[in-house]
Amino acid sequence: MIKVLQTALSGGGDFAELFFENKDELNIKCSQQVLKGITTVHIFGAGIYLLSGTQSIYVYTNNLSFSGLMDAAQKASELLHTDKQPVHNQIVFSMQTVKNPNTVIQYPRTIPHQEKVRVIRETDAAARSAGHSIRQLNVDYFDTDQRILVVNSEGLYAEDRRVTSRLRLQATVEDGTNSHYEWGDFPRPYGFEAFRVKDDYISFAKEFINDIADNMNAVSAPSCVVPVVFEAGSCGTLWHEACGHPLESGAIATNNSDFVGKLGQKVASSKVTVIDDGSIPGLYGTAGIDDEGHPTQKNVLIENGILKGYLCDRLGGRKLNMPSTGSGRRQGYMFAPAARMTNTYLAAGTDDDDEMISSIDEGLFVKRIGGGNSGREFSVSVAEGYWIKDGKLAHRVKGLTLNARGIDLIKRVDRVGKNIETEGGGFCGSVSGLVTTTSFQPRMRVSSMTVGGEGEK
Amino acid sequence: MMFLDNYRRAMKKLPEGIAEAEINVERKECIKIGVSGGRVALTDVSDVTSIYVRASGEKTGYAYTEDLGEDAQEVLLRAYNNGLISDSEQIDILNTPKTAFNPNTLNDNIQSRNKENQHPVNSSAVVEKAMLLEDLVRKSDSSIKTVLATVRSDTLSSTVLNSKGVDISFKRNVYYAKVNVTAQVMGDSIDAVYSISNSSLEELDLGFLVEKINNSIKNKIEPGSLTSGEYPVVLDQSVGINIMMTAWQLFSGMKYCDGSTALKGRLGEYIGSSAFSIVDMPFHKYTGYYFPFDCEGTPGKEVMLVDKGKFTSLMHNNYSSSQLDLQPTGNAGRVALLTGNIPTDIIVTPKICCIKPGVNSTQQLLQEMGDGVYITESYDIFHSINIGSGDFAIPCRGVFIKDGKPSHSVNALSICGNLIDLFNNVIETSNDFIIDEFLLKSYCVGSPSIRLSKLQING
Repeated sequence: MIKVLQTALSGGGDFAELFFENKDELNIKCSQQVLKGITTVHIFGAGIYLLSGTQSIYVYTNNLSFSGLMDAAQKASELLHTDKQPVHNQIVFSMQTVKNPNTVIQYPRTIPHQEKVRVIRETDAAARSAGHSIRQLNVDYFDTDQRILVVNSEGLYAEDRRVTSRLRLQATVEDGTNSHYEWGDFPRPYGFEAFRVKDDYISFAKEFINDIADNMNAVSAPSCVVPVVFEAGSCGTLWHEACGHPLESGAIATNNSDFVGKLGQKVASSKVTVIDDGSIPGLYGTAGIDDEGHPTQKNVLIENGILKGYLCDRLGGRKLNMPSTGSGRRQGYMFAPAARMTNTYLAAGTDDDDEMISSIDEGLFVKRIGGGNSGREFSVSVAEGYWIKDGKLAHRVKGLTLNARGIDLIKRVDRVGKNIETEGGGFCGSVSGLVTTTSFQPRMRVSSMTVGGEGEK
Repeated sequence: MMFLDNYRRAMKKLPEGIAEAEINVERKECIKIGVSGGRVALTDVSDVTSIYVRASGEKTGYAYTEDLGEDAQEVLLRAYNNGLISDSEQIDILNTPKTAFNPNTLNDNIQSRNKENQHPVNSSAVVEKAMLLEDLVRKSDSSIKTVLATVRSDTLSSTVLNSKGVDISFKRNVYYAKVNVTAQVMGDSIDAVYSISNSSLEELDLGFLVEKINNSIKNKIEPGSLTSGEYPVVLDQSVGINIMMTAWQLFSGMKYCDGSTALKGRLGEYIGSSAFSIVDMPFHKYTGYYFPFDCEGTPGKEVMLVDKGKFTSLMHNNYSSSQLDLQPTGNAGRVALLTGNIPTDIIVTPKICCIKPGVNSTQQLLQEMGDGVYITESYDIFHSINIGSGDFAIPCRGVFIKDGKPSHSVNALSICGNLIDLFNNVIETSNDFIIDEFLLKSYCVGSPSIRLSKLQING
């Protein structure tokens, strides 16, 4: 590995890194109660990351023979456009040991397939027992076991092992005239112990089907500007989209964010404190180290409305003249690292949950967010929303997407509740691929927001 | 590729218990150069080979590996063993040399392109193109403050090799250019992004890309608000692309068979206006992507999915076509939507799935509309359309059109409705047409601009 790093640096780079990934995935598909079979996936490759100042070269391959790696290192060296002379520092590796906060009890590979099939069957049966007409139901089981090794020209030698287990349900429910399709995930950052408590996934399956059926009775929301209350838990996606992505160093360094040059300034309501923390045990976005070998850490991004920091990977840190925040992440060896979120949340406040709704004459209550999109303007789709009338939830609404300029919206947060709730998590797709994340919050209210549906007010 | 010979040998002497087997090898060799501020800022180079395996005895099992040094027989056995747990009574249908793609059927154009593809350009040509693009964009508008111009050269090779004697390969080059800019106009920061692709680096139309970026900036200056309601609308090509990136699933034979789309049971019915047609094709001159055969080795056929409003056909792989007693259409694929896992199931994916263009330009469509809204950009491909119901709520922005001319821009909009209604409200499609790749490079969609009689817009 030292020889490979030295070869990569021979063209004048000032930093070289080798990222090895050895990952096993298992996928069991069950469609319409028929077990379609098992697929095993073996991902095996390496990436060579070379920096010269703020110029980056990334070369990756799944030819992991010594000659394959040397070829890749040579290619990286040749592609570097620099006049700098190579520095011949001696590389001495120092093992860095960081315990992954997510402890695994039952590694997936040690569990017989039949046990995993049992979980699928029980989940399928639970979904079908929910009492609705199911036109189509797929229950898929996934587990992943990723081992990574990061070594670099500064002598770092760091390893991590990330294990996840997940059920994915896809269903079409019908009521005679209408049908509605949804998918939903039951993701856990654990081994097979994720399914130790049967009630967890059984309840998830029933609620998933009930929710699709309820959604068919939803009516369109009117178009208007009203207060919007976002429920505790997964509505934290709003923070992920509205200010998480714009605070990543990739957006800041390219001037592609409204938060550029605003460190130390008031950018949000005083009730807003936003944190990203990849070291919280039990969450889907947690790891021992990031994908550059830096230990994960708690990063306060906005504190009482004041912008405190950005999320930096190594290269982003160089561009902004800041240290890495342990945020260099990637889907796997096929991606160069980039600053990405881990577990992003709005910190708890002091406001009363019930009052947030009861004090509204007319407004929207968002119970779940389905996904979103980021930029200076962001959008989130409302997976479960209710219209508020005279301080009470009146009826369910459908077909809603909320969009706004992030930096404007976070100034209009007028309530933040006391009780923070986490969420199961999911995947965030961006420049360095899909990475596991969570985003959560206590119940929170935005004083006014444009809501657009097809219905009458 | 020595490992391929190992698999060829394994196919001739399958491990005990395995009656038939197949591998699909996908190799991606990529060079990506990003230029900013007149210098190379990033370079990505890769060469990755993926091996998808299926093996059948009484049942079919699957495996995937990137470890080229693994013993071929062991990988086949792993796939076979994975299948033993399946409930399925049927084994997968494999192509034979008679039913699989025959390289001799390629027309001369493609044959000659195939020969060229054996020699993709080197990295310095890609650097040169990226430098040129960055320079053109930076100088095109003084309001542009930052530019990242990215040019990518991909050489994508596919091989299908099975125990029934199929052994076919194809290689294609795709060149892709993308620009991200931030402009400063009247104190406001405006971002714009656009991309194009071609089968030739020289033929990448940088002038078109620069024009699109400049228009995108102009369309975002001083955005105003819009009163929610139904408006006559023209959807820009990029919005049509965005919709098609998800909506193609309506025409998946597998989804049709399992009843999970809004078009369930409606084959043969009129689902759109007479101005609306959709076709899925293996080749189009506007893109370097070409799909002579799918991941099962079935030849890629042109399929008219919607013909002047009539829902005429579906896209099929071997399995879904057998369910309806039809011929496969060369639409077997694996990578349909974004996923955190390696997708290994053989499902139905498009090749180059396009809304058919019309005869007039986008400008003419806007003039004919007179007063209405030109939706210029839309976002969030994957969360805004429900394929089961056809309902959509897509975040977007646009420009008010008055007497056929741009009046002012509007942002923070969403367009809402049902896809079937949208198809029925198509008055005309434009003749200026673009094709874009799916993010994971497994298929393309294309769209002209689309004029609609009405569409609900919320602001």
